[in-house]
Amino acid sequence: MRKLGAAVLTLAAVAGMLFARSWLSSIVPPADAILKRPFLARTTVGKPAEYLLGRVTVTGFHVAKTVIPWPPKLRPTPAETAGVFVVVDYEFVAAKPVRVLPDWSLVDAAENRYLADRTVTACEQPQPGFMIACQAVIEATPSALPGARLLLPTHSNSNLDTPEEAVVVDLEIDQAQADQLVAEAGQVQAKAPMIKAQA
Amino acid sequence: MDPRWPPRAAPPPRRRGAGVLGFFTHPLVLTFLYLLAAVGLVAVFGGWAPAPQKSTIVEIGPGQSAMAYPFEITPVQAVWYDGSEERCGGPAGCVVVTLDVRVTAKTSVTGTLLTDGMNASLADSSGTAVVTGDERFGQGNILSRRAQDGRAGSVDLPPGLTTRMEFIIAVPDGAPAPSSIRLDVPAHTWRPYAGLLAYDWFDPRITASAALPITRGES
Amino acid sequence: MTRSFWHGNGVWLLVLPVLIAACLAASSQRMVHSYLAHTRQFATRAQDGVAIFHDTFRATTKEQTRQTYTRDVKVTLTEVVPVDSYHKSGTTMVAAEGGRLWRINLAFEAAPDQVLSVCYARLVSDGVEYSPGAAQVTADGSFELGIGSELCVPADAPGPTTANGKDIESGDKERPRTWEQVIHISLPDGVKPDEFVLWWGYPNYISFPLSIG
Repeated sequence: MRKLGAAVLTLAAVAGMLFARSWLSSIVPPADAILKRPFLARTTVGKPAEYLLGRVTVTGFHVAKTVIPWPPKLRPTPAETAGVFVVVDYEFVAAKPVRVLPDWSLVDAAENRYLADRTVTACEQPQPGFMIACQAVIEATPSALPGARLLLPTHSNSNLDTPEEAVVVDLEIDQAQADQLVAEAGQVQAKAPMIKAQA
Repeated sequence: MDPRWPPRAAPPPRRRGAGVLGFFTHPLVLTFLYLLAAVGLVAVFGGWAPAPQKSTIVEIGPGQSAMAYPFEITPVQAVWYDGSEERCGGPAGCVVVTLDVRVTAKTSVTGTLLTDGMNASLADSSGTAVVTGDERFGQGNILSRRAQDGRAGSVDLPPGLTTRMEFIIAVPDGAPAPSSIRLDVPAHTWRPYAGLLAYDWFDPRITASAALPITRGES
Repeated sequence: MTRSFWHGNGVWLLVLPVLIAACLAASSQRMVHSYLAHTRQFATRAQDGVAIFHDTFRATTKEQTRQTYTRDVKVTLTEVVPVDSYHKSGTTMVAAEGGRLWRINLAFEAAPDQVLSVCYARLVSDGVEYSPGAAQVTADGSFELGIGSELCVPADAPGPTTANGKDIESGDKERPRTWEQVIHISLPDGVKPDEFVLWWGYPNYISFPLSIG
């Protein structure tokens, strides 16, 4: 009789532990989800964000159909698109030597990722203690604008990889604003970069 | 009672001289070897070997679309120019093939992927090959650019956007007049390479093959 | 009890540190090949501004054979001073607004066959590193891309170079045994450098401690 009691108790304990384990695993995220979760510094237009490479501020953006490149020797003729160009003005203060800033990209509400076109604009090499103001030109579909956010990773190794660490700038565009931006899209002259010491 | 009762069992005789053969006849080692053999057989003849893939070559004409991942291509036209045309980029003439290209992947894809593995063959009115442009081994002669503004073909193509592209195939002086072209665009896959990095491979067995008549262009 | 414990485990306890070291060595692949091999690790510290540097590296010749090359060079740091401007291929370059240019004068001494093209330099202040070619504009305020050039070898006779960044090609003109180079680095106003570092390939580098009053 005692043996039977012990067996029942053992079974109940094992079943209880199994239940507890499956309950715990339903509320605790799997290790993979935590290990692969990117470090994202989220911000909006005009507000600076700090990340591994330095401090980034998107000061504004334009939507254009045509971009006149800078410097002219990069491309003598304007770049035109069947979609839209999102021309991003940004400021960057390096926290450490960065030879080349990674490529900006635009991520739309459906998680499509559009990469910046390096043949239309160029940026100065960042230097710690100095602020550079540059532009990035991203070619996208007009449907990418509502809910779009900008992404600046720590390195632009591959457009297939999800970045481990990045600044994410929400452009806060709704459908009506997107329609208006596309309707008003015209020609934009890409600007030369500007650099000055950070006060 | 006799203190020697019950009598103790004699110790088992020690195995001696079994040697290497003895090791391999041990039940545990044998079980391991059988398992290894089974795994090997499954790996060689079973489901682990890559299944042979069927060729899927979709032939299309002007205005028809076909997929060659990550591109959906729609041929538009093919025009033969003489050497005075600026786009030919030299004294010899060229055929400019225009395709509408849409990236179906979720990210921008470098335009070099389009020409990587591309194969073009031009034939004259009798069907005899005139010129071939073969990018399969990275030594071809197909130049590509955006038709709209002439940006380099290597510039990233955004997902979802239909971009009109031109592919320029040089036709040497004195070659017979080409009257038709077949342009093969292979599908691409990304496989792990060097352990971690995804690397692009084209697969000529899955191809969008565009056949177009060539018209004579005025430059 | 005590005696039997040491009798049974003594040898293994002695072997344990060796085993731990072997485990670390066996799992060090990433540390050695992915981290140490791509960072500045081993400094040759200059004495009174003079550094005798030795480095070896493997590379491919133009004929596609692997070969070990050396970099035996004596580098003397003669001067680190703030300047207002300098001339670069006919253009006057100044520091970007709010910055200060520093001029670094270097004297090199090396055999002509040493591969010394494509070097990297940094001025360091309080752990922050500043690179040449950044934060510099032309005197009229506009800036040019592609300021960076050869820092460590004479432009007209650089000696053996890595034209495609991989294969070593011997230069047309023999490099002299001694030559001088000038490097300009832009720092924010009021920042004083405390170290100058120079390197060709990782992980070895030259460190010049600076004492600027």
